[in-house]
Amino acid sequence: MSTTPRISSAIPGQAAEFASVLRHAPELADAFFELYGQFWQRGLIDQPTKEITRIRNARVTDCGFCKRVRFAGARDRGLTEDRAALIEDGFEAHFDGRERAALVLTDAIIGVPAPLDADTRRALLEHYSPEQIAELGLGVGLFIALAKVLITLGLEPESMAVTVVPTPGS
Amino acid sequence: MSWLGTSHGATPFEDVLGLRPELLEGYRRFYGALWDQRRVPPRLLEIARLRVAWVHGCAAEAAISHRESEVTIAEREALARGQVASFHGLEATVLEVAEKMTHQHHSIADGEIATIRNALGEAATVALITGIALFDANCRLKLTFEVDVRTAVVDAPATAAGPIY
Repeated sequence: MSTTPRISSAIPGQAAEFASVLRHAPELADAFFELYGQFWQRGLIDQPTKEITRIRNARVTDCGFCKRVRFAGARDRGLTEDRAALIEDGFEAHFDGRERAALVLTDAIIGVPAPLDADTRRALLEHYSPEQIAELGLGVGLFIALAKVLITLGLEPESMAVTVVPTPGS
Repeated sequence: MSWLGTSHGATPFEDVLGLRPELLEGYRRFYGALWDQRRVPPRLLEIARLRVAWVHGCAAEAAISHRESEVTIAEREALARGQVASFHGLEATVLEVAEKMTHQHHSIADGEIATIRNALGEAATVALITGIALFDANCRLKLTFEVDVRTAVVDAPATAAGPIY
């Protein structure tokens, strides 16, 4: 892991962080932030559920930045820091069936990906429509991709407190 | 057909992503821009995409061939077997980074990214690394949702106007 940026900021006067580095490829930056905002603001899944899958990915992928960011929309809707702290291995004991199904899907995508077993599929389809599962899946895909870009380009912070930021697209 | 059903998309992957049409459109613009923008030589993107596909054992991704990239059948077979010794210089480094990004992303060294950056420049390096991360994510989704395998030789694996193969 590197906490020294491997790519400079594309924006003069700004530190090298994800947004300023992605700006080297403006067509990718524009499309990403439009999509990410749409995902968070106009989806079929509530923000706290999306946020727990994002935090789960951050912890398993070990993205120092992602682990310490909290989105305000989920915080405002009841996802407290005490609750976020439970998104560790063994989360099954602390979340209800609907949340647990989303977290199990997250682990399936970000672990060694393979077809889901019948019980996992059944649990997902009990709580979510296919449209909602597709949305959850695409979100997890974006989370893991974003985390790996941050890590690979050396954009991890040396230290960072838990920080609540505006939800993308807000 | 995926266990999620189908949205009657243009490709098996879009059958799944198309269950959320607005997000599919947005993802087309994002992932498609990678292939449309030409910052990165198509051959580099293609060998990285194929290597990531085979690390994951993702037949749905590996079944797609990018015509313009001119990756030979012998090279595709070598990438499938993990025999990357026939690739040299920048291509070898890109393949090493691509492989690490699937499951060992924390082990990528400063020198590997410096090699890519010195050869391609910063903008293309950002695009390439973003692309590899998306190849990884796409394979993960295709395997989890059991996206159908459909062999195709295409002008590009994706464009902003669609479809995404």
